[in-house]
Amino acid sequence: MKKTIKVLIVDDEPSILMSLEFLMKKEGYSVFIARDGSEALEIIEKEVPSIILLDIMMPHVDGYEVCRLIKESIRFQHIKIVFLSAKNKEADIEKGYLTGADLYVSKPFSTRTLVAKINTLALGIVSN
Amino acid sequence: MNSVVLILTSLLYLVFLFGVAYWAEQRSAKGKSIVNNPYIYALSLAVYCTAWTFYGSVGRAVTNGIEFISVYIGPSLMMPLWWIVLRKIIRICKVQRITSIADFISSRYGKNATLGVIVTIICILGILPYIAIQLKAISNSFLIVTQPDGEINTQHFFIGDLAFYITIVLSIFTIIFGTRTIDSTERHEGMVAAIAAESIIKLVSFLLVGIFVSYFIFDGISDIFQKASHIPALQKVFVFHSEQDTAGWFWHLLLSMMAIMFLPRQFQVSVIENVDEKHLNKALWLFPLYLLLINFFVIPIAMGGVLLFPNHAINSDEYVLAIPLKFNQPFITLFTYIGGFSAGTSMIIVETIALSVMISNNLVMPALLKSASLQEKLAGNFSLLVKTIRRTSIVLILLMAYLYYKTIAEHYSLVSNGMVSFAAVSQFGPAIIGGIFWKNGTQKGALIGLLVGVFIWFYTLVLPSMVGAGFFPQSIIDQGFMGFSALKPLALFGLEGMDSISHGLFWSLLLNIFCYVCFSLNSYQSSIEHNQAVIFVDIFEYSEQVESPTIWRGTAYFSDIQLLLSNFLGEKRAEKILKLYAQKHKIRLTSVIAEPQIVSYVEKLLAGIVGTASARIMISSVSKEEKISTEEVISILKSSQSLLSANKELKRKSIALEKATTELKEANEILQKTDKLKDDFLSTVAHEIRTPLTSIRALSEIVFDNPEMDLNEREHFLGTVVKESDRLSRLINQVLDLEKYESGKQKLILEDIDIQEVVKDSIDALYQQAKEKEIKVIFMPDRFTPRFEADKDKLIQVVVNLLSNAIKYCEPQKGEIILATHYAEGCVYTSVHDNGAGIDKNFQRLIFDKFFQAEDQTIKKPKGSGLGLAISKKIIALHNGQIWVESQVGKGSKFTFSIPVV
Amino acid sequence: MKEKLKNQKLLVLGIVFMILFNFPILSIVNHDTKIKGIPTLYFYVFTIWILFIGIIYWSVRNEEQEINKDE
Repeated sequence: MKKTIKVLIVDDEPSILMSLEFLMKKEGYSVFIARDGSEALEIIEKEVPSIILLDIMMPHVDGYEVCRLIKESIRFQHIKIVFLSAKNKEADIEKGYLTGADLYVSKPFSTRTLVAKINTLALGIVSN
Repeated sequence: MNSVVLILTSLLYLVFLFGVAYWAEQRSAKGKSIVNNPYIYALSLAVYCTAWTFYGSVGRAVTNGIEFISVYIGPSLMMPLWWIVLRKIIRICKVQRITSIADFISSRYGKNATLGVIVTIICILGILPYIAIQLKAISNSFLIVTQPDGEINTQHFFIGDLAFYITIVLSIFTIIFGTRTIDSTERHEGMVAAIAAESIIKLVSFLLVGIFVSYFIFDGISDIFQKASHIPALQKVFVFHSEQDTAGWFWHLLLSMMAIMFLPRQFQVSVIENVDEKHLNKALWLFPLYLLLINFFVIPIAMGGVLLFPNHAINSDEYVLAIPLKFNQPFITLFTYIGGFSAGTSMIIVETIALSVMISNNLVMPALLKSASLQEKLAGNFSLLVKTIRRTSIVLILLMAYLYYKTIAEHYSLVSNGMVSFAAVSQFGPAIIGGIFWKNGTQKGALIGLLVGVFIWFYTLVLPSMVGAGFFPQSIIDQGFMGFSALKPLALFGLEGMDSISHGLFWSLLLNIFCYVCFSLNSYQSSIEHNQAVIFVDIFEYSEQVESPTIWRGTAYFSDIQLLLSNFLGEKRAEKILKLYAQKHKIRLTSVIAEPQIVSYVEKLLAGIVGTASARIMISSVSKEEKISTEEVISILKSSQSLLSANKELKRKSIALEKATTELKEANEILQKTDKLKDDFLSTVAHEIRTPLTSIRALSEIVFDNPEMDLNEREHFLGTVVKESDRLSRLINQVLDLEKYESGKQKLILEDIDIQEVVKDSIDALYQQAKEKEIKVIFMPDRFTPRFEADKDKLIQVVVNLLSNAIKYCEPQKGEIILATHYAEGCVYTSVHDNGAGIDKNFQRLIFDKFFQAEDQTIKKPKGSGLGLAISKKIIALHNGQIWVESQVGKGSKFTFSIPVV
Repeated sequence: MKEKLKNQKLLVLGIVFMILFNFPILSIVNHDTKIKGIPTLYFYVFTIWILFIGIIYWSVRNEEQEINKDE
């Protein structure tokens, strides 16, 4: 079941990518990886993932921009977006939700909680 | 020459003058005043040059040589001081609406009517001889031109005497000039314009005679001197001879310096008629220039006259006219006559007007106003009354001058009569100069000083001339008064060896000053006196702030005050003026009782018309003044003064406050900005710390939760945790480091170092890293680089930072890094050049800021903590050096730092 | 400040020329010789006088120019 759910992980920090990839794969999602915004957009176009774990501070195209583009397009707006960011001020979080995020997770995060939240999101997708 | 022609010419000239005056007044009425002009002002000052200058100087030069010129050098010398003294007097007169010298002295010493009377009488006594000699000069010149060969007969009185008719004509003319309008400023623009025109005419005509004598009759000025040196009488005056000459020179300078300020006509033109203080600037040099020009040919004419009339056939005072007559030059003769006429008339007009103002304002009006019943009768007709008094006094003054001329002045030359007048007005010197610079000068001091001075003046200078005319026995001069030899008028207290003018001036002035000072120090000022003293001395402080402090307490009905003003100015004008004043000062005019400020203002307006003393009397007649004790006034004055200074202080402070506020605002802005920067810095630091922390936590949790995971993977994860922990501690160290630099706590440990060693050590530290990425590192040392004082470890830190950045941005295998040192012009340069990605131009300066992206969130930082370069910059700055980057995207970057070697 | 300076400048000017126009300075030129045919004393008095006027003109003119500049 989970095999069909595609998860895209976008972050410019290799060590974070590494850990997230491990966690998602372990949960049985189909995992894709991008190191910055533009790479992410390419993969989205091609694979149309159901969930994106998105870092905000990235070179070239940042997380907000990626999120905005996705939520504006009819084709992709159903994609669940989870912001993963070290920016954890109220204002940042609010901005994240205003841009259209479904979930905002501050770094550093508890792996168990993150996995649980992603799974809940995935359940929603499946039931729909 | 035909006397009818001459009379007609003279009358025509007067009409011309009147035309000039009329024209000037018309222009002024249209608001295009020609008198508001520094050149006209300077020319009007030349009313100083009278018939005495025009005819008398030549006569004086014949007997005393260059001595006559002291009377013109004195005023010239006074000019620079004018800026200090006269400007102050002008300001005082404008603020206090003072219209004559008598008013000035009376006003300064407590608006005292007695002083005004005394000064007026001194002026009349002192100036009458002076006016008389003008009449004498005019009538003589007329006679010389009409009957050059005939014996001049001046024995007739009144009818049959030419001088009498001249007196009558001039009286009428002066009345027309001076009393057509009564204004509160007492300025006569028409008169000033006419005087300026006369000044031009007398100068041009005198120069004409001078040039005619020097260059047409003789062969230049040196020719005249050449010929004159053969005549012993003339050669004698080429130098000063005796002590008397040299001392006389000094006293004459002093005398004329005072005359230029205190002669009523000079006071009139220089102070009362002054439109703008700034005009003084030009007058300061124009007036001395005028004096120089008009005196330039005096000596040549005098010498020439003696050479042409060897047997004293002609009175030397008359050379100016006699010479052109002798050479049959009717035009030059006529023009010269007009020049002399203009010199005489200008003096008479201005002097008489000034005197008539004094007589009406300081003599007659105060006396009339003392009687309440008279005042009631006159109510409504003051304006006409003032005019009548002035007109009458003009006629009286000229008639008295005429009588003086016929009885006494006949016996003396023009110059000596003039000098006596100078000495009279010099008596005002102590009271006026003391009055504007010394607050403690009192009424009593001024009064006694003046009286004593004038008495000595009369005794030493006037009495001898009256002896000559037969009014007193000769024995007074020879043996002294009542036979006391110490009281000889020409050798008072046994002082001999001075000429009579110097002698008289010395004693009168000395005793005048002595009495003024002594009695001032030993008497007290009344309240009003003290008030005036403060205003006069500190006029420049007051005039820009307030009209004058109001020390008037009492009640007056507004309607009375208004009526008083209407009497002089007419109802409409009075109402208008009061309304304007009320508007300007935000006073209500509706109240029944007049505001004290209004009362003071009206008093000042009236003072402009009838003089300060009279105005005082009139105001007190309509008001019930409370007697204010001296202490009270002084305290009011002091409080107004301290209020004034407090005000000033407040103003100064509020300006300072304003400045401080803006500064504070700016500081606040800077603070806010730095606050924001700090905020940004903190959030950036937090972000930078969270990133490795996130990895560490996530990876450790994974390892912890997944004991069954692949061993290789596990090792890889744990390795990453270690690496990220390293990164974290490095970052924390850097932040702490930077904080040390910014707070200035970081100190350098200086030692003698060799830059090559620094670079080599840095390369050694990173050798492994470079090798791993297969990047070539080349070092090109400059062997001539000197050793210098620096902190070796810190410099290594810098080079390591630059090198590790270079390694980071170089592509593996293809990378090539060149390190180089270089010494030039007292600086050691060290550069790290890579062929990596390069840095966008926009970032090149920003990269040295800590987390430079902080300021602009849209600019994304290149990899790296963002603190290394910021720290490097601080380290280099501590070494007084500089660090910069040259780079092009895709072609690599070159970082260079330079350190000055002392 | 400027005002005070001007006062002082003019005061000094007045004093200097008062000295130049008085004894004992005058006694230096008080002898029976001639400069360009003119008695030395006369020549001196007029020359200094012209100089004096020139200096006043110059110092006041500077002042006026400064004022104009200020405006």
